[in-house]
Amino acid sequence: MSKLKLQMQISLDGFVATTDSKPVISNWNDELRKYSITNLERVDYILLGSKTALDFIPFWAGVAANPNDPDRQLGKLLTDIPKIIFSKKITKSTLANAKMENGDLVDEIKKLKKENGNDIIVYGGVDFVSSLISNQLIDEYHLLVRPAALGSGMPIFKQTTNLELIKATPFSGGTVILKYEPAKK
Amino acid sequence: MRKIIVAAEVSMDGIVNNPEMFPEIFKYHTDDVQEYLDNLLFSSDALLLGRLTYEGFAKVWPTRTGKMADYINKMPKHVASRTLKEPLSWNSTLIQGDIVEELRKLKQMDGRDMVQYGVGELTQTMLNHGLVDRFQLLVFPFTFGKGGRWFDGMDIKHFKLIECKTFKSGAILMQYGQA
Repeated sequence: MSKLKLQMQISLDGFVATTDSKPVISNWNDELRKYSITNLERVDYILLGSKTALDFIPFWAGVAANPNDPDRQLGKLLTDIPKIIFSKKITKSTLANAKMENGDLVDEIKKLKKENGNDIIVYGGVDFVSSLISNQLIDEYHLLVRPAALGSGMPIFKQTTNLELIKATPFSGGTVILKYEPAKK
Repeated sequence: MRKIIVAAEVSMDGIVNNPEMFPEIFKYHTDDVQEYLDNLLFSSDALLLGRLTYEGFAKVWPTRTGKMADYINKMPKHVASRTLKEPLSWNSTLIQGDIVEELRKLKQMDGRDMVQYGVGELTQTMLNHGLVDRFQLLVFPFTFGKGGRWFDGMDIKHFKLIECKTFKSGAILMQYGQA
């Protein structure tokens, strides 16, 4: 059965974005880029909420098409891997390489995991990821803990979840990548 | 010069100072976590406290016994408060006058490091004046979802990662300096 992986940047005080939905912090670097690329090995689908898809898909298509962008390789992967966009309202996708999913979140993701051999990944948005977490659908957390505190912002965890630390890896630039799985009952 | 170390035990999602979290935290206090906490305390010789922590600690620690309790109860405590009046209990004194100036003077004196446990207004003041030398975040492998966070209300602050250490229970120590 396949795993649903979450990869997100998070501040020291547990926020994945500022209150006006800006990302946590910059100083993206080569090591983080390589980590993201490796994390896409054996990934068959990228899940997205409908709001995030509108930014995510064109942004990475632009990166992939730009020969001077250092993220070009990552952009190409993120563009080529098929997307599944969850939405209650929109039935047809106008975005490239993406299909809409109108069904129940829990049922559809459980079905996807059962039918799929390889893994699935999600990067956001905040509300979508919060639902996945509260429905206990995430199998692996890859949290990029940036060396900064925001003071306010958007959290993704709304309740107690016990986790098992798999690995903590410090990177140059001060980011620590924490890999967790849900604690085994 | 003496260092000021701020040490906090937090959930993975950054919740701090929440007594409801303590039963959860204790599940992850393996012997190596306790050893780290002991070393932190025994390498210091003074505590810095805001009013709330002072009031809480001054009630609880004198009732405890053991090596850690004896050390904490005996060591000098410096309390920052606008409302408390001398004399304080529990071998504590009020920081008089300008907090920032007084903390600078304390750092210049001979001695070991000074520790503040938990975070609050005093931490903010120290951060805003570049007085904190080390943040030690002990991050436990659970999320809590509700409650106050470690830097609530502060402006964005950048730090420099110094150390990342993993414990048997999956707790992690992340140590930072001010950037």
